[in-house]
This record gives sequence, C-alpha cells and structure tokens, in this order.
Amino acid sequence: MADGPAMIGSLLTPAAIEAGLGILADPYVLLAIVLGTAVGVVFGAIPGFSATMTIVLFTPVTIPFEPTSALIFLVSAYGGAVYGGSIPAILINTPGAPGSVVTCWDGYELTKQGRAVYTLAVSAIVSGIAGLFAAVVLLVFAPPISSFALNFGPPEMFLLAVFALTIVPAAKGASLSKALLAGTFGLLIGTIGNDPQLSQSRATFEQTTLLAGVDFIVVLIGLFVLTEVFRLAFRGTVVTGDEHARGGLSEVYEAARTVASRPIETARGMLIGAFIGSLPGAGADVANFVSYNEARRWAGDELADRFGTGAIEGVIAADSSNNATQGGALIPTLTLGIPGSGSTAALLGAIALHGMNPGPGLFESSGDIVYAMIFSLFIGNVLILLYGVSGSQYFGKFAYIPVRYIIPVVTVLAIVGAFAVRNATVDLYIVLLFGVVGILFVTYDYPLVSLVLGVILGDIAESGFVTGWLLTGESVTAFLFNSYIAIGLLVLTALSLIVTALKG
Amino acid sequence: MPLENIGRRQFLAAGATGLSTTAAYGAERFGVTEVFDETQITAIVPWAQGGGTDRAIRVTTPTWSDVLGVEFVVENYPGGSTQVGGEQLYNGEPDGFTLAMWNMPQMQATWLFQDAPYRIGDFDYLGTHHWDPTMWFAPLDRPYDDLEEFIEYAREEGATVGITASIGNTALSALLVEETYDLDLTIVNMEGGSGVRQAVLAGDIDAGVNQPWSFDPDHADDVTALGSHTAEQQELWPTAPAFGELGLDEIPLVEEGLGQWKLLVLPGGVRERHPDRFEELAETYAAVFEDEGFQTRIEEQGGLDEIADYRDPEATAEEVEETARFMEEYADVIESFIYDR
Repeated sequence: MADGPAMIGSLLTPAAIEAGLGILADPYVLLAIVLGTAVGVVFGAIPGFSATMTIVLFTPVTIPFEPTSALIFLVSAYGGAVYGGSIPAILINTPGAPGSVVTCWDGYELTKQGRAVYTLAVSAIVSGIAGLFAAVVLLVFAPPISSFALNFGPPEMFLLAVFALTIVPAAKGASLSKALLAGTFGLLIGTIGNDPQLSQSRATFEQTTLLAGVDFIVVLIGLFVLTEVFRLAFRGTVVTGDEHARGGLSEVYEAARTVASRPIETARGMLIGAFIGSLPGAGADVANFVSYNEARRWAGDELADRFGTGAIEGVIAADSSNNATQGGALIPTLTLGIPGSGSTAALLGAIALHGMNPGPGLFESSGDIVYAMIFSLFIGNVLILLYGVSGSQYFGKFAYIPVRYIIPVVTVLAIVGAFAVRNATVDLYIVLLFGVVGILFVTYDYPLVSLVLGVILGDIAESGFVTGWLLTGESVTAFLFNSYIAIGLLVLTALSLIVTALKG
Repeated sequence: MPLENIGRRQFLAAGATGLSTTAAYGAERFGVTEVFDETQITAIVPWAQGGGTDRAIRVTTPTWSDVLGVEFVVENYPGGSTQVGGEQLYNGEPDGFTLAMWNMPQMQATWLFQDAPYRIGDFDYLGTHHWDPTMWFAPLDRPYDDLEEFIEYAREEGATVGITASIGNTALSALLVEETYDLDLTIVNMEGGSGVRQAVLAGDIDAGVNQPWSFDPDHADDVTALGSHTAEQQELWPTAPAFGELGLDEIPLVEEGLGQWKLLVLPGGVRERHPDRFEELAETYAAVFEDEGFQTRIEEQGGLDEIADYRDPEATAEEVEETARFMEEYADVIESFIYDR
C-alpha cells in the first residue's frame, strides 16, 4: 500500500482558525448559515428530497452570491437536510432521506405510543451533537482519516457491504427466511442497469433511464411512503390505541436526560457515522444501518428485544450516525477531491461553480473559505439542535392531524420527490410498483427494510466484488485477506452472524 | 400537456418550490434576447454532479449566460456510460433551448458498443470546450518512472491497469499499449476518474489511465506521471513525458494524440429549423472564450485554461467525424475486451 498523499498537513492551525472565524463574523455569512440550515431541514423532511437533491436544487440559486456565503449556505443546507430526514421518519414512518430509514423503526413506534415530541427532541439533540462531533473530526483528524479512507479499496467496500447486510437477519419482527428473501430480492433489484465493469445493460426492459439502475430513493418512497399512506388510510390515525398524547417542555427535558444518560450509545453511533462517511461511496444511507445493528448487538438481551418496538436507543443509534457522516464525507471531498457521498459529489460541483478547485490545492488556494465552511458546521449544528428542540413540540402535533389531510399532502410530496430524483417518468411507475410490493410485503410479513438494504448495498457490493476480484488476481484468499481492514471486516461479519444466531 | 412532456422545472414548481423565480434571475438581470424568447436553456450533463464534465459546464454557463442574456439550468443525467444523457438530448426538442456538454470518444462509444438509438448525424455540433490528453499515472512506490519502464515491468511481472470506463479513451489507450507490446494486463474499470485517482493514490493498481485535468495537477507530487498518449509533451502536467518523446511511436494514435474532448452538442435540426438561434448560440459561445473573467475562472480550475480549446461548429463536426473514424477502426480491440475476456 502506498502511504497516501503527503500534501495534506494538519488543518488546525492558528492562522486557519483566525481566517475562518473572521469570515464567520460577517452578518451575511451568519444569515447564510441560518437560512441554509432551515432550508435543509425543510427540504430534508420532504420524502425524496435527500441532502443531495437539496444541494443540487439550491446550487443555481447561489450563483449570484459571493462564494463564501454561497458555499456556507450549501454546507449548512446539507447538514440540515440530513437531520430533516428524520422528522417524517419519526412522525409518519416515511424517511425523508435514505439516511433516516432506520430512524423509522423505533421512532415511529414511539410516535404511535404518543411520544412524538420526546422522540423528535431526542433526535434533534443527538443530531446536533453528532454534527458538532463530525465538525471536530473534520477539523482535527482529517489528514489521518483521509489516508486511511484511501486504503478502503474495492475488496474492503465489498466486505463492508456484506457486513452491513448482516443486519438483514436482524430485521425487526421478521423470520430469518423472510428477511433473507427480501434482502435477496433487493440485491436483485440492485443489479438492474449497466454492469459495473463492461457497461452492458441488464434487465432494463428497453427503458433508457434504467441503464443507470433503479434509484434507491425511488424504491424507498414507494416502499415506505406509499405503503404507509395505505396503512394510514386503513388505520385512520397515526397514533394508535388509547395512549395519552404527551407534549410540552417536560418531554424535551426528558429527552435531554435520555441523551445525557446514554453517552456510550451516542458516541458509538457518532464514531460509526464519521468513519463510514469518510469512505468514498458510502454515506448516511449505509451508516444508519450499521450503527443500528451495532447498537442492537451491544445491547443486553432485554433491551435488544425492545429494538424495533419503540426503544429510544434505536433512534439514538440511527440519528447519531447519519448526522456524523457530514464531517466524515467532507474529508476526502475537501482534501482529495474524491467525494465521500452523493451529497458531497454535488457539493464538489458547487465548489467548482464558485471558482474553486476541490482537491489537495484547495486549502492553499482558498483556505480561508474552506476553514469558514468547516467552522460553519459548528454553528449549523447548534442551530439544528435549537430548531429541532424548539420545533419538536410543534412538529409533534403533526401526528394528530387527521389522516384525510396527511395522506394527500404526503402523497403529492412523495410523487414530486420521486420525479425530482432524475426527472424520469419511469420512476413514477417504479414508485407505484414498489408501493404495491410494499403492501404485499406488509400483508405477508416480509420486512421492507431488508429489501431497501439490498437495493442500497447491492451496487456497492457488486462494484466492490467485481473490481476487487480483478485487482486481486481472481484469488479468493488474496481478495478476502487483501488488507488488515479486510480481515477486520471479515471478523466483524463472522461475529455479527454468530451473535445473531446465538441470540436466536 | 402529456405527462411525458412535463419538464423538471414545471413539475417541481407545481409541487414544492418557488425556485423558478430564482432561476429566472439571470434573465431579468440581463434581459432576454429577441432570438431566445424563453428564459432558460437546459444544459444536459450525462455524468453525475462533481465530475469533470459537470465542473466544466458549470464554470462556463455563468459567463455564457452573461453574454447571451439567457439563464442556463444544468441537469445531470448520469448512467449508461453517458447513454442516458445522450438519449435525453436526442429526444430533446431541436429548438435551441436544450444542449449538452458531452465528451468523446465516449459519445461515439455509446452507439458503437452499446445499443444507443442515435448516430453521429442526429446532432448539431456547436463547438469544442477543451481537450484533455490521455495520461498514465502510477503510485510513487513503483519501480518504474515512465511508460517504457512500466512496459518492461509489466512484461516480467504482469500488471493491473485501472481505466475510467470500459469503452472510452482510457480503455482504448490501455488496450492499444497492451496489444502493441503483447502484454497481458489486467485492465480494470474503476468507474470514473475519482475511482482511478483513489486507486493510484492508495497503490491498489500498478498504473491508472485518466486525463491530467481530470486527475487534477494538484496531485503532481503524489503520483508518478508515466506519460501522455501524445506525440509531444502537453502543457498541463509538464513532468509527464509524451509517448512520442519516449520513442513509443508504434502505439497507435500517438501522432494524432488520444485524449478526451469536451464539446457542446445540440439535438439535430436546430441549425436547419432555427438558424438564428444556432448562430447566436455559436457566436456567444465563442465569445465566452474571449472573456477575461472566464479565462480567470478556468485558470482557477486546476489549470483548465491550459487545455481549453475552442473550435467552431464546422471544425467541431470534423473532429467528431475523425474521432468516430478511429473508434470504428479500433472497434475490434474494444469489442474483444468487452465480449471475449
């Protein structure tokens, strides 16, 4: 292995701090952070409008503005959108973005039990803390993480995907065989489109758009949003049973106490998120699954059994990891010009649009702006905390709006979101198709999340396997033992399967 | 209006956002020309956000918008090795309000080696943007400093070579080197410039084939530039010898120079049906390259000004035909790679 690029020095220097903080003193820049975070939270909360979509939509809007404010606005929107995705996940079981799929599991269960305000407040506090942690990681540890992330080659990415897939047997409330079947179906969906090595089309049904595969956000919308809309229509209300709806500041205080009493759970999620975020090609969509799975694995038997039925630890695991990916994903993006996720790839385009060249020379040529962007993450995540905590009491009331209003609004937003992903009519049919698939899955008790996980990880796994297989001379041992990282992932995967099997 | 004809902007405006107001900013600011009676031109990019083509069009459209007086909206249609975006352009209205920044020989490859429904004559060509030569890179710790030494190494030890796509200029360069010197290379598609860059920096491959601007000259101290697939040294990465300088003239296409063109393409028929719009687009696009602000802007983009190379519509069409000819000439090389390995 090469040692990696030697040009990345420490980012944390007195001159850097002075330059960055100096820019943040500009009121227009502060306004950009406030507006960007708010815009991100709102758009992130719309099903289908992921952080990537939010950056893509608002990049042209920033053209008239000078680069510093413009890029800080986009970075703030990015952070806000990652958090915003958790709001509908908790309220109506529909993740606003792929990074919030797992938030649904326990978040929605708690909402159904009348604990929406409490859960939203926990989500906001954890998200804000995780975002702040990620900013520290970016500022202090970017050079070593950047070099380490480079060593995550195709075999390691494949093994990471396999490790993440071990969550399939743990899917809540499902039989092992049904979870595996659903996961395999997802992996098959992931093979649609051009193959990753020779660009030959597979199962595209003469639909040009499908050459690029089935976008997992579209699958997500069909499976989760449409399915939940149908379920809501039958159930007639979001909150079930006779649970007393709890709200008010006491819920927020309890949320703060809950987070304060679970530092290990929060820290574990943050570390997983920051690490996975820094890997090129993997972001919040993968991190929240891995974090949830690890949280469940490390929990005692009694708590582990409550995962999926309204355990707040599940929400903490998901939201601490997805928000921590922000800083991680920016590491290879800013230092190497290699995007750490889809969102940061979109951010790369915006950086170029504003006259800067992402990569190792960025800190030399535009260091003041880059440092200001990093420092803006601190303010942005404090704002997420404030927006989320103060808004939780109001957002929480959404769960008590009559479903006759919720259903049409959510359906329209979902369809718009699905179309906006890539401007393709075929995606509208795919949404409907997966809406039906979702209903069948729910009816026959197959876990939706296993299918989604298969679609998300299928592409990473296939590319990693095919490319890694060629790079390692088509040798099983060379592939599996390509590096210490690969061996570590193999061990983790084996332990994951053994522990899951022992727990029955 | 049939559902198929609803554009992204109309749909989004109807559904969720008020972005159209902002998107029309440029039109209000500069005034809409008489020839262009709509407020926006859609610029299709057949790659994802953040890649070389995306960055190139995004640094160009602000200046072009100033000169033309019409706002540009960049839309990304990645997938299918540019075929998804290519078909979007092919099916676009030939009214001058839709264009694409495409790259060749990837463009020709989609109909030569995939099932794209369009051909060379189905488009109008507006002008070239820049030419990024094909270049070979290696990790610093390898025992070879140029392509000649790499060839000797590969003959003895075998070698893995990363390419950016299976059917473009990087694949062709790798295959031509392999065939010329009867090597047995393991050629691996790293799925884009970022993939090749990461693999070279990490030392996962023995050599990577990319373009110097795409690879980013800021990495000059992090890798060994083995050589460029050209007869003479190119300007962007001065430490890299040309194949011609290394005496590797027997590799095909060294004299002509094998690289990647970025060019502006319109749906076929614009020039014939709307000659005034075509002329205005062509003239204003040419004027972009004379603009000092644009030159400064592309200079800041890793030295893009060094390889910027504007050619007029006629010269661009000739370049497209010439590139198509050599891709057809070497089609069997690529087909054997795709189908026989």
